Amino acid sequence: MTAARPFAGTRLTRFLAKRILELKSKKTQAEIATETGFVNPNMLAMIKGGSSRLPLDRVSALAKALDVDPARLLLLALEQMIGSTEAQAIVSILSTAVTRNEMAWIEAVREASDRSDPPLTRRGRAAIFSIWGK
Amino acid sequence: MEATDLSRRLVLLNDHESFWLDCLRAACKGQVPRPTLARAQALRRLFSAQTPPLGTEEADHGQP
Repeated sequence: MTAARPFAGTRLTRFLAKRILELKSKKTQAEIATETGFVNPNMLAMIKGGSSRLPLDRVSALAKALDVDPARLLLLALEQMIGSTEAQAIVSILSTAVTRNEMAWIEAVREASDRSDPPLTRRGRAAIFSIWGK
Repeated sequence: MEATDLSRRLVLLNDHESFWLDCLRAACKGQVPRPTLARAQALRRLFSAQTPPLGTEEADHGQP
């Protein structure tokens, strides 16, 4: 960590570097930056390098562009912002306790909806109940 | 017999996901089984075959 790169070496920068590398054959870093909504395509490089912090209002879009769990990315962004202990405290308060099966269903909804964050509608409710013959 | 899993972990869900989870729990009356291939396919059909697309109609958050 240096004055020019105050966030270098944080869990977020390591996570970003690894994930961007994994996606290299599918999309470029500049494409990910554009999908995230960064006006300056260099912004993602600056965040990855630790010279800029990830703005919280970009977490959701970046998670979608990287195809990663937004909650995990939010935790890492919060760690950068306020520290690990404080971030864990916030996340534990805001979190929901779910079983592995329940999380698998949430992930199935995310995948089936192409991560469009669909609201639960009457038809959606009926479809869920019909899966169990109700 | 359905596979059940009682171990829980904390995750961040947004509002929409919380409503889906509540609906799942209500449909299963508690213990949610893992999504089998057939059930996951039913979910995919829900999002691919709806007209208008799911999400463009009024949301149902379970209120009477």
